[in-house]
Amino acid sequence: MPKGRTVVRTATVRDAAGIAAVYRHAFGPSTAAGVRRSLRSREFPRDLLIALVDGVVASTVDIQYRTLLVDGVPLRTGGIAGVATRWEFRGRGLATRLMREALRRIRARGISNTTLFTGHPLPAIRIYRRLGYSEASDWRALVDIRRPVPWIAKRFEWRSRWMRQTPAARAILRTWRTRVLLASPDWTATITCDGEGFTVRSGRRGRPEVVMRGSSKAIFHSFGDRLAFDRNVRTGKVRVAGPPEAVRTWRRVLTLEWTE
Amino acid sequence: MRIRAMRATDRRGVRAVYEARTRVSAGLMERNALYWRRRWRDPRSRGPALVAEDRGRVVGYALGGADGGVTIVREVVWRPEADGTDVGPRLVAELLRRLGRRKPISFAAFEMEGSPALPFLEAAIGPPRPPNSVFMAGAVNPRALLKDAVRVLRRRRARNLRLRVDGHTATAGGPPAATVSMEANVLLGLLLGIRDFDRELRGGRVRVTPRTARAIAAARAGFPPRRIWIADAW
Repeated sequence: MPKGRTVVRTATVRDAAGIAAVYRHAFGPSTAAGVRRSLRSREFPRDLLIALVDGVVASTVDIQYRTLLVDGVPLRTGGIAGVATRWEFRGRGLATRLMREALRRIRARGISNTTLFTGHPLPAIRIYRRLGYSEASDWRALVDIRRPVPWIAKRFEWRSRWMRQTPAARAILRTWRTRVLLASPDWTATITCDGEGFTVRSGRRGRPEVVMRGSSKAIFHSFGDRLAFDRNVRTGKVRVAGPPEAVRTWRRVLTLEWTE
Repeated sequence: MRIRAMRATDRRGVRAVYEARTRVSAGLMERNALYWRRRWRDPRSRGPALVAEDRGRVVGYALGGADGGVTIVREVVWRPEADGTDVGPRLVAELLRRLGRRKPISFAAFEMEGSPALPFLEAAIGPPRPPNSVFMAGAVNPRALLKDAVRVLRRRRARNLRLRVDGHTATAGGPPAATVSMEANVLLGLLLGIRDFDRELRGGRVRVTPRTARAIAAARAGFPPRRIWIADAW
């Protein structure tokens, strides 16, 4: 784990490239130009906080000062977004340190509360609870998948794009040659990788090394959700067979769980 | 009432519908002119856009998006006075019909509990997936929260309450009929429509003094049932 001098400060547009790199590690494809555009937006006041370790942007927390309406009465809130840390700097408490600074700034502005959106499967949820985020309400995701194989292809198109942009994921993309068969009672799809990106084709193609079977619903719910994937495996709603190392990597690719 | 494609000249009406809905909701974000300008320019907003028009006035709208076959219901909102009419279900049905014209790969909608469109979307798209995303809130400044709460109580014409939170006290202006005590996060949860007053009272997380039927009724009037609904995640 790299050690170094840590500095916490508000970001400027000059930090955009470093911030985009952190976002790629945490959220997916992101560019310096996109970060610059967002920083220049005047839609709401904000403080984008960064932690620099030896000059490298290692972690970010974005405070967006927004207004929520309760019966039409404006309540200012310190909306937290963009909580992200580069892989190599994780586990050092940088995000917690930035969050504490964010809460201090929100309080200093005379704002009564702080709010955020996050995912149940994300480890950061534990940090938020420790910091006092006790009020929670779930988002309902309603999804009706009409054409399963093109839907899976779309998901993997995105994975290909993202994984090319980040070092650890790029390494998996380069070396991953495992053929995966997804099989539900209604459809089957074969997923292969050529070192640059994934290809999803309908039906069984060749001899798969990893096979994931289950109902359409259980397979779809496992996408991008480590908790759902693990729950479905535990309860037998999906069955994953193959060499253990290949199955572990497949779990990462499917659930986008990058902890390297 | 008729449902038709939205025109650029309807944008003011759409904004008025959103603002009318915020007056009876908990959580919707304040949207300024810059927000709306960005929203109309955003390529993700390019999809079917409908309005419900009644006697020349926009009473509801529905916005969808489509990206290479992946379609999404972005927002369906109608005026509170149209609750219980067919405006909501007709907007949802027509939006999904238009999204479905090009053999979509999928339909999706992401809604919070308090969205008036949720029951119609559930009926049309199907039951929700197991929860994956969550909205979280925490109080950071009890005194500021009391000020916020007092402004909300005044809007609700519940001036006869004294609030006590983490050692701080505030009144909404009138002679207090009841004192309502709780922790800051409980008050925040009640304001945002995450917590239910009666459940908190039963659970002992909200205390009302004196514990008379009249005082409890006064307190209940200050915290009527609301369910959180934020249409934009940030």
